[in-house]
Amino acid sequence: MRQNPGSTGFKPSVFDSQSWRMIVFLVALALVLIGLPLFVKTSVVRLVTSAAILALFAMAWNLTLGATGIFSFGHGGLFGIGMYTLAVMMIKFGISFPIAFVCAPLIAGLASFVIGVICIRLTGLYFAILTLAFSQLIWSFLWKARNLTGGDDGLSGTTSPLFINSPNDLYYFVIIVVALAIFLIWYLLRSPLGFTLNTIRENPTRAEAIGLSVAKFRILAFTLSGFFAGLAGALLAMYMRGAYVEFASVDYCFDPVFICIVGGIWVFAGPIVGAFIWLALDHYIPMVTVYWPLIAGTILIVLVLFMPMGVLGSTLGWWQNQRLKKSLSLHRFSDALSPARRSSARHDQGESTK
Amino acid sequence: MNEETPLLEIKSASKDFGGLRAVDRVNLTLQPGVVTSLIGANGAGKTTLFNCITGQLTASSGDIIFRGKSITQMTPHAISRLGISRSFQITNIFPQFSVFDNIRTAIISRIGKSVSPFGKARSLVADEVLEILETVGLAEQADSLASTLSYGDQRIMEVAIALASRPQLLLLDEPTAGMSPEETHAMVNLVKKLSQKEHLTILLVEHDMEVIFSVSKMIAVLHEGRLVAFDTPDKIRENKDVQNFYLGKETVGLETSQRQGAKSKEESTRKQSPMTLEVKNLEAYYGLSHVLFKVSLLVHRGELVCLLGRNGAGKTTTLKSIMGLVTPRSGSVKFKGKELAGRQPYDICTEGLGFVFGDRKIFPGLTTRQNLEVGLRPKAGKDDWTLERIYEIFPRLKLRDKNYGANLSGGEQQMLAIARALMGNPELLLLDEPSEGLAPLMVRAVGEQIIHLRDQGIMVVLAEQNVKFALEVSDRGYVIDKGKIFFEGTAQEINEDEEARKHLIVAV
Repeated sequence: MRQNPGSTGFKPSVFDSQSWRMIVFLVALALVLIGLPLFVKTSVVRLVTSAAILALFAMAWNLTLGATGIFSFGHGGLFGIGMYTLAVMMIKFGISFPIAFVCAPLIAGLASFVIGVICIRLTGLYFAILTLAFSQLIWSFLWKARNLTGGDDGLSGTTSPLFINSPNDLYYFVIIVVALAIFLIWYLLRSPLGFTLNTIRENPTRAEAIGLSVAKFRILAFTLSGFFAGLAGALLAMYMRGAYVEFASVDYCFDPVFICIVGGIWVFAGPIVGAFIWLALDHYIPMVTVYWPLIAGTILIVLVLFMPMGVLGSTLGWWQNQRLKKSLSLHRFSDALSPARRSSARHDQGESTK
Repeated sequence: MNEETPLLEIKSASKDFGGLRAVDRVNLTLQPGVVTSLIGANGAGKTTLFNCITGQLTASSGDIIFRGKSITQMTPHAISRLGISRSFQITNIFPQFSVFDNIRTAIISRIGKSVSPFGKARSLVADEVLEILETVGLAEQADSLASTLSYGDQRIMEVAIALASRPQLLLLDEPTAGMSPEETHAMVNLVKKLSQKEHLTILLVEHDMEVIFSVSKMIAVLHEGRLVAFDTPDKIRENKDVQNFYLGKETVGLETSQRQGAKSKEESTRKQSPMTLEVKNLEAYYGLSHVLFKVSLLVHRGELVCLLGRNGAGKTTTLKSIMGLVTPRSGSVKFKGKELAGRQPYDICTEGLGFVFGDRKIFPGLTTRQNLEVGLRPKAGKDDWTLERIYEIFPRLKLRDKNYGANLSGGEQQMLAIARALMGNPELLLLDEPSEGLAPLMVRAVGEQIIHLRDQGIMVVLAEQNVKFALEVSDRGYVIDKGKIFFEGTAQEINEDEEARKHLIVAV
């Protein structure tokens, strides 16, 4: 639980006694991931590759709601910017892979900074809708700018770097990049910066009153989030060998939201678990039945109703008897979506009786 | 800094909300190291003035100067960085952080490390956190989740959060509101300790006179947004003007008592009538704080009864408990013999109860007419309230027929709120502070309307902080303080009884 950004900071000694367990777990996970291609079919390797990319994307999105308490519906566009930056630079301008790969998240980060600066004047649901509008703007640009982006045909034919010759090579590359990115996110969240973002999520009015510029920190969180979303987009461009406009569409604005809800928004690894469940549903249910959207929908409803903290969140909750409860989860959700900042509106009306 | 240089200077600061001037040209100077209390009736502008100082609101005009620097236009976080910390009227903490982390985040912010992406936040500044927690006496609960603390401890922790910014000026907005006597005592000791040991300059808003007189060196009195007195506690105690703002006993007219004489003849017949509201031993809580202690009321048919008390005394909670907006823990509410306690507000409404919120809750996006139509609940066969009848008694509303709720003045909104409740054809009307935020002239108009309704046979329960107004219109009254009913009697009896006045008066 030391990675949990929503954890409440129990006695440090508890963390220390648990850290060896976490190390054992991580080593075991690493071994499984390294050994995976030796034991399973290529199709499964590719599935895990795309799940890892989706996990990073969801993880990036969760820097907004999970860490900072702002709700973004605009990550599809940022994801698309990362994807198209890599494809356009490589195909249209012939720029080499390493440069394009570094530029993709940077440009996505820059775009999210600009969007953040404009949107942060509004809060809650209005912020969410505004980010969605920006995302649609990006999508329609990608759709219309045929000369640059190939329009609805997309751009295909990104060449892989020399060290990637097979799906297994790509798998290892993606896993390493995703692992490094997730480590970076984890490191950020436990730093004073991450702690401050959590502070703002818990109570923006109070945060403002202890000298934190809430708007600036929210922009920073949104920018970081866009950076990692762009990185995930670049990885998907490698995986798809090109960029396609559907990946910047509104579907990809909602996907990270659902993935995080399924996995658990208030636990660090929730989005990772969510991404794997999401893709597993998407991949395996159609094999069994043609009614898969019906089944998948039912499973999602059941998950949300009975595991409101997400699969990982609720499981950990039962296991460790954690004090993060359903009502809290809903509170944080509604706070992030509430158009007015929690208590400032109340003060605007002058004094209120108890 | 020597004694002569003021720490904070407020120069002719005003704050307007639409047509309402909440703070009116206030001049106030705070000397370093002095504890100053800000008192005044609800709506006098105390919290608004606070919010202007700390930047939650920006003063409409005037200047606020802190250590020689104008902070009028600054944002809350910038003001906090300059050395002004505050607590809020409604507890404002980080509920899902441990007590330790609540303080830690404020210290990290102060030392400018909030943007640092390096290192582990949860290993920083532990010593200083402990030092602050020891100052306020919360060291033992350091590892508890903030939301699990008792209400009093939460408020003390909020002061600790404010202290973590190492402020020069500390603003406390009703630090003891809703606290038990023991918790109040702990807070008073803390304020005294901070003032004496740390020589902190403190400005606090309070309603509890015991607290004010035991901690303050200076008292500032606000009345309708204006600073009417700023003096030592002893002088304030003797100030006749200040007393009148809260009790105003000289203006309760003869007319009232005569009317009561006439009414008392009917009293015996009323008592046998089943048309009564009977509240018995009502107990209510807000989260952890116990707000109502065995409240009992009896209201007969055609009676106008007021519930008097200071801010936070439990008036609104009592009304809300009757209406089902607050679910009482125990006790009973019987109207016409039917039990209401435990039922939902929309259900209770069908029994003939109407509720008028203190903050009016007008639908801002609906016109006056639409607001009224929403409230319509016809009762077949009876002489129902109609738009025409409403407009007859509130001609003012007819003029604003097509205006949106948001654009009505405070007084018009108040009339509309009452009128909307009437559209539901209530037999019992619960009015929460109808005089709040209204100009004196409006207060009179609303008062006349309320009496008029009583004469038409509607039972009215009026919760008021404005004692003068309430006693003028009511037949009978209850005095509530700290969630308990202390006195019951006619307007005259309340006015003449020393004991009752003690629970009402803010400055005796």
